[in-house]
Amino acid sequence: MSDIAMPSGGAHDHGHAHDHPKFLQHHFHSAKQQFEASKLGMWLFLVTEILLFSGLFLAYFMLQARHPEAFISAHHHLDRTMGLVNTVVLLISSFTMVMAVQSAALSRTKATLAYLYVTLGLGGTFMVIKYFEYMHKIHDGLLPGNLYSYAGASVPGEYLFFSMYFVMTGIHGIHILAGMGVIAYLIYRTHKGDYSSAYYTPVDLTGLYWHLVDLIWIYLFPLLYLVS
Amino acid sequence: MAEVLTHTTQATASHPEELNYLNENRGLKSWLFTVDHKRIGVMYFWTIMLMFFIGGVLALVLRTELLTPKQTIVDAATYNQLFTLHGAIMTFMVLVPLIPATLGNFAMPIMLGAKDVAFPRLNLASYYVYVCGAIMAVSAILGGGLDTGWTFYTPYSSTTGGGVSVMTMAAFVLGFSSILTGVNFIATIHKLRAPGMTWYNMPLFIWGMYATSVIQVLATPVIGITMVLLLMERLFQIGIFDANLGGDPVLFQHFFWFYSHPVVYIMILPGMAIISEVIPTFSQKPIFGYKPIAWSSVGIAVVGFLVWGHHMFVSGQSEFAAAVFSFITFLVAIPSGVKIWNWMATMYRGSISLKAPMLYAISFLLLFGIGGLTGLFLGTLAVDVHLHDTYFVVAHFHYVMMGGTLIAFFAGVHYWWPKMFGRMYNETWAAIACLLVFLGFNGTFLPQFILGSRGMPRRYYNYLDQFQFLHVSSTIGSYVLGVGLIMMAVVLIAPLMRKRYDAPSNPWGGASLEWTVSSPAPTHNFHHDPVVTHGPYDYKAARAAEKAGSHA
Amino acid sequence: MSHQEHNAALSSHHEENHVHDHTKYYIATIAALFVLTAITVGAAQIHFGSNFVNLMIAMAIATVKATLVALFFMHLRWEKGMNAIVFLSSIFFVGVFMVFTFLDIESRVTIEAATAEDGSVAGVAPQDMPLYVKAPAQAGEGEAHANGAGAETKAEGEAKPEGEAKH
Repeated sequence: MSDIAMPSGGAHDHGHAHDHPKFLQHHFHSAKQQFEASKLGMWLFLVTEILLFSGLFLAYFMLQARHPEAFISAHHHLDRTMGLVNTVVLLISSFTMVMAVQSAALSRTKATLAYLYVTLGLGGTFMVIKYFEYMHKIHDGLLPGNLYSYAGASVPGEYLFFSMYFVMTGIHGIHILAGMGVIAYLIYRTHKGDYSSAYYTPVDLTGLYWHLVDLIWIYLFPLLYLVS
Repeated sequence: MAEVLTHTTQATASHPEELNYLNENRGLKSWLFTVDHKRIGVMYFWTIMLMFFIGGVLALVLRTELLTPKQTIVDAATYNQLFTLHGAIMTFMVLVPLIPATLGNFAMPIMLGAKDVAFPRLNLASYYVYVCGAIMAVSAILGGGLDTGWTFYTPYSSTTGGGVSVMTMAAFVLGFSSILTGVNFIATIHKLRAPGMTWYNMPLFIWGMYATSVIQVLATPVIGITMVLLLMERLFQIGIFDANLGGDPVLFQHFFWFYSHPVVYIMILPGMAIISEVIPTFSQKPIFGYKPIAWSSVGIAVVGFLVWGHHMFVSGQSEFAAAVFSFITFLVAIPSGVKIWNWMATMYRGSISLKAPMLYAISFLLLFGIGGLTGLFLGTLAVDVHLHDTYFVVAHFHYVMMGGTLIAFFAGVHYWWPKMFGRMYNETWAAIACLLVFLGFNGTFLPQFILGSRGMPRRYYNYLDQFQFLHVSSTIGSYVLGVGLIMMAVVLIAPLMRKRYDAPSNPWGGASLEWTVSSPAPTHNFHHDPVVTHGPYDYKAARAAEKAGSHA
Repeated sequence: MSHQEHNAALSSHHEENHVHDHTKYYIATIAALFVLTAITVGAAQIHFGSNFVNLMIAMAIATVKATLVALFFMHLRWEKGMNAIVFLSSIFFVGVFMVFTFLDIESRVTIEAATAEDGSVAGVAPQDMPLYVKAPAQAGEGEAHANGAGAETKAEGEAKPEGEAKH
């Protein structure tokens, strides 16, 4: 009804519905404002992921502090090579992901698709290697909590390490799978030609998420596999 | 001032059937699939009020049981379930989303001069996630039952049967709803302010919502991971919280309270935010100390993360840590004190109008004052050793959560009711209901301070004979409180039966942007983008603008 | 393709979205990350005194890697400060969470340490102790010492009065 003042220019007046791009939502004034709001929203979501994983890291540190010998002994069961390969795989996937974002931003559809496919493939590779690692543990009975049934010589309390190992890598793995799902969706949308320099927000936001998942692995790898 | 109000009433009454967010789109689907923040706020409102009613009924059953020292109407096991449910429903399903999801969702974008929140679909998603979480919680209750207390301490919660596993997942889901709201609000406040609205030109309600949202984003994930770990402990005995397995039950408490202490600030900051709007408007005087109040919200949010160990003074936590937490707890009282003094200074020599919102706001000052001050007793390490787990704690947190947050919520509901539903309620009956609520509340909880300091433990369904008189007083108070709340509900709902939207745009003489649009609010909030030309507490300028605008 | 052209044409009416080609930065970053990964593995072979120091060095190297990912891959280097502030504030609160919790865990006094030769615990004589607290020597062989930490917490847990065991 009665506004405080009428703006003089028509720059903010989006009364006509078809004059602005499809992707611009009605409550935003400009694509730039929408893009920046979306990025801020994504960073806030990443903060929640960081706090989520921080609880796991704290639990790990605490248990390790109370059972140092058990943890040292237990981590020898982990295959460092597989862990290292997985680390490299994820790092490369971060590279290909950011290249995908850049390609979308520069309207290079073919390059975007290529980089997204490679990122998806690398994510899959990570999960396959993880699968083999898990199979190995299951075979040996090196499992969390009440599933632990390792018969070999061990320091009491080793199962605590495996409890944390499976919970931490498991939750991380779920995040990788979710990311792969979203990347697959991005591939579908890119095929349809939905992304360009005007609008590539979903690719950018997915990239941020993927980098965070990589970041978490950057800390997980030395903690679980290397520290002795 | 009265003449300005009449003027406005005349101006709006000439357009009685204007389209607004309530009547423009009709039908169930238009509500269930809405992305309009106002409708989402209204849906949240009714859903949360339903949960509040259930939690309230549980409380009345508890109080009835406590009429006699021995068993009255339920046995001990049932009593344990009842207080667990009352606590879980009231904290997770009512108080956490209460003000942000209802009044924050409804009013905040309009106050900012925006057409909606930053992510409207996420907003709707947060509502459905909330509903899912609430259904899961109810399933946990009906399925296995829950008697751990809302605090789920291990090793009891990690080893007992019942619905604990489902409840942990319900809490996880509810937490997600909270996170989505927080993310949305932060992005909205950063990005969608109207031209001319700088950070220091925003209503203080927004500062309060901002600080609340920051806490929601930072703290809620930790309860999420706590629930996951508790579930893992129950299913696989991973050994993290159970001493028999090599873990540490006090670690659970650290995890739990790292979230659950900031969560009480998620509850109170929005309440304080409402008071910062109601008191200046009903004093027709700019708020005293805008910047201190604004930054005190941020201060409470930050310092609130540093004090969680004051819930654990007798848990087995080290003395050193306890001392550190106790010291910092004293610091967190300071920003709250700043606010109380500034609100009182705002009222000083103002033109006080004792309408219902103001009556609740003044009640808040007294009740939150008592609640906050008694928190200091509990924060004092040596005193807490005697008061921990007694009724003193119960009284303290009811004074801050109910006497604080809920009373402030009622103030906000009465304040924005005309904007939400376009009808005015009966002022006299609203005031009577407020009086009953105030008397009933104090009647219920004031005796509990005495009970607690004399040694009555909490969560006990029977007690020593010497406590009976105070328990009976408290129960009678709770019945009065119940009557008052029902009366308040009737007062508010009765006008909704009227068809006509006859409330004026600005019944209270407010100066923030939501009072410049019609009541109920238009679907898109503003027909043209508003440009802010005066501050949110500049009542003189607002009256002048209204006079000028009504000639158009 | 038409969506893309349509949207690109429309956006040119609004503002120009200058996207720079940062490929060389990305390549430099991934190269640095590989090198740092190699260093991490190498550093793990060397024993720097205590386990704690090894852990700290591993975490420090990981933090350097994380900073590179955040600055370059996540674009913080080329954006306005707010996103970085949001990110860093989360790190701050993670720090608070961990430091304060460890403050408690590391400063606890175990019952064994607090028990004097005459059997008094923290200055309380044995005959003045409530019946349900037993000094470790009197606890008997029932305590499983599979994990030493378990026994201490259990004893500390028992030190609470019965009313509180209800949580």
